[in-house]
Amino acid sequence: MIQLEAVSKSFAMHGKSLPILQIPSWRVESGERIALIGPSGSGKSTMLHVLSGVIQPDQGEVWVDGEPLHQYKEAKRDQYRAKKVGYIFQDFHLISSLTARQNVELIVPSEWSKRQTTEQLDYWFERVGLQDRMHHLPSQLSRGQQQRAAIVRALIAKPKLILADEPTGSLDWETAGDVMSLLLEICEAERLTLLTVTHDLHLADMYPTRIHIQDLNEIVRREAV
Amino acid sequence: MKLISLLWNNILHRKTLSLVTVLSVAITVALVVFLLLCSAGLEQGAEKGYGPFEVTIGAKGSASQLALNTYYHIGAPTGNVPLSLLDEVRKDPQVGSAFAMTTGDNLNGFPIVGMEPGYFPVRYGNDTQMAEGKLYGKLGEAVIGSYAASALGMHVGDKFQGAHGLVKGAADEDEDAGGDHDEHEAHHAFTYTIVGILPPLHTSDDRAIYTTLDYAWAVHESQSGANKDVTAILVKPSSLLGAQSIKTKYGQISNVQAIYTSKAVADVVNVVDKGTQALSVVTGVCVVLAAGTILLSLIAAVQERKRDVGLLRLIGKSKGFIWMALVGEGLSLTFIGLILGLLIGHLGGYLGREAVFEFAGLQIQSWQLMPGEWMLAVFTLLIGGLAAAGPALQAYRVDPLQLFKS
Repeated sequence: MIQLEAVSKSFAMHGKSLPILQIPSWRVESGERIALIGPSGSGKSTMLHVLSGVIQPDQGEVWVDGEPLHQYKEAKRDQYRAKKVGYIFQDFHLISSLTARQNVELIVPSEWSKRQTTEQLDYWFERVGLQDRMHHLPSQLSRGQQQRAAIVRALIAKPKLILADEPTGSLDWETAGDVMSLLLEICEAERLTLLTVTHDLHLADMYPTRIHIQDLNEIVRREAV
Repeated sequence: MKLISLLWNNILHRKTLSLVTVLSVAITVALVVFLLLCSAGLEQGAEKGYGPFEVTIGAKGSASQLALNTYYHIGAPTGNVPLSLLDEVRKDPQVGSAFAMTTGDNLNGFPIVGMEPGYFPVRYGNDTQMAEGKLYGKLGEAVIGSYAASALGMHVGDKFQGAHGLVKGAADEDEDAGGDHDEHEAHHAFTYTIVGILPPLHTSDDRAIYTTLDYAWAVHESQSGANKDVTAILVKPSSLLGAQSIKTKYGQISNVQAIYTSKAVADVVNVVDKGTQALSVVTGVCVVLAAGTILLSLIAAVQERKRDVGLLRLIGKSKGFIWMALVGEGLSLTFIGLILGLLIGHLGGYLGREAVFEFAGLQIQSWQLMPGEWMLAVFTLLIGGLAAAGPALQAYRVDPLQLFKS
């Protein structure tokens, strides 16, 4: 599903080049659910951005579901992201002027019929327990409900890869556990590959696989559970 | 979610700003439409205003004043010429037909014009039928223009007395200033009877009251015996060459001028056009302000939505989608403003047509779609699109990682 080969990424800071990622090789199988853990600034989010095609590595190869992202131009990476990636954010990032349903509709593929769209929306909102709240604006939803709507947005277009950046960082402990369980359960049932960045080791423990991104120049180390 | 739904949602989300933008476009468009209607009315009036009377003979003075008073019933006449001149003109082989006109009185501001009845078929054709009643035949009978009839609520059989002067109240001012009291009395003693109502002719004749030529001699004591005067002689030449000959011949008589009517009218239209050009500058300022409103509205939208744009980019929406969403929003606001402006402009023309006609003698065809409106629509959308393009480009360049910036 994911294959990285000799990937490196640096950022310029105060006139110097600061290496963030240096990964000799890493492979993730389809359907794996991985918690990517590590301290702030260790390159976890950068890893997600590289895998989503938002940023290009300075060097190396990035393959996701057979697509060579390192070779793609921006427009092709946009298409890849729209088709194959579902994104979940710490701050949910629902558009405030749109209802929960409209936020999700943003992702619906244009080739879907109206009927198919309605069926899928009803199915997913029911599955995350928001069937009665789908016509509410984000400001009318609790934080947990907003994140559930964001999960529906990430899943509706049937992507292959779910990238979650601190998805429970803005939630209280109990809600965070519920949301994380829901996400894991859906990804297992749908056989989706899930890569979650978190600094919460307790929540990371819920994942079948945990990976530490250590400091600069460190090789990704897999920690089998 | 389709692009159109997204941009419509964005418009509704910022109701006040959207409304201000739409209104600024609408007011500008309405102003331009109103100007176009007036301009068309002016051109049509100039074209139709003097009929086949290519030469006008009157007292020496301003050519424009003579034409305006004779054909548009605006302003004072340049003076009088002797009635005997009419006979001389009619005998001229270069003259197809000629009619004398007397003016100087009014009914509630509507001019009373003395004219030989033969004027109407020559001016408007033999097929033109009276709306009601018949043409006048003897002293004291009058026909009234369609607009004047409806404004004054007059019908066939109604009687009235005229007042001296071409505008309402002029007689009273004259009297206050020591005018001739007997002549004032004579105006009040002379009674007209409406015997017919003219059909809408879409010229200044719609707001005039026509009566026999000799009314002026009956109500003005000075006009008796051999001293009879007329205000102007309207001449239809027998040929184009004839027009030149008539103008030259009668222009040489002392205290008389003969003018090419078309030239005098064109001079007036040119002056009015300059006024229209001055108004166009004001309109241009409105256009710039409207474009500025669209620009500022969308710049504010981009600033507000940078994170949303980042999100859309991150979930795979292309740069083209982002650009189209902003340009589409600008164009939608412009389009709504344009449609609203066209409606307001025409509605304003409809509601103000009587005031404009009364004030300037311009006939506004308020619901007529003018060729200039297509240009206006294209130009407005172009301005809207251009004003939106800048902010849209700004949004186009938003980095998806903007979403993660605080």
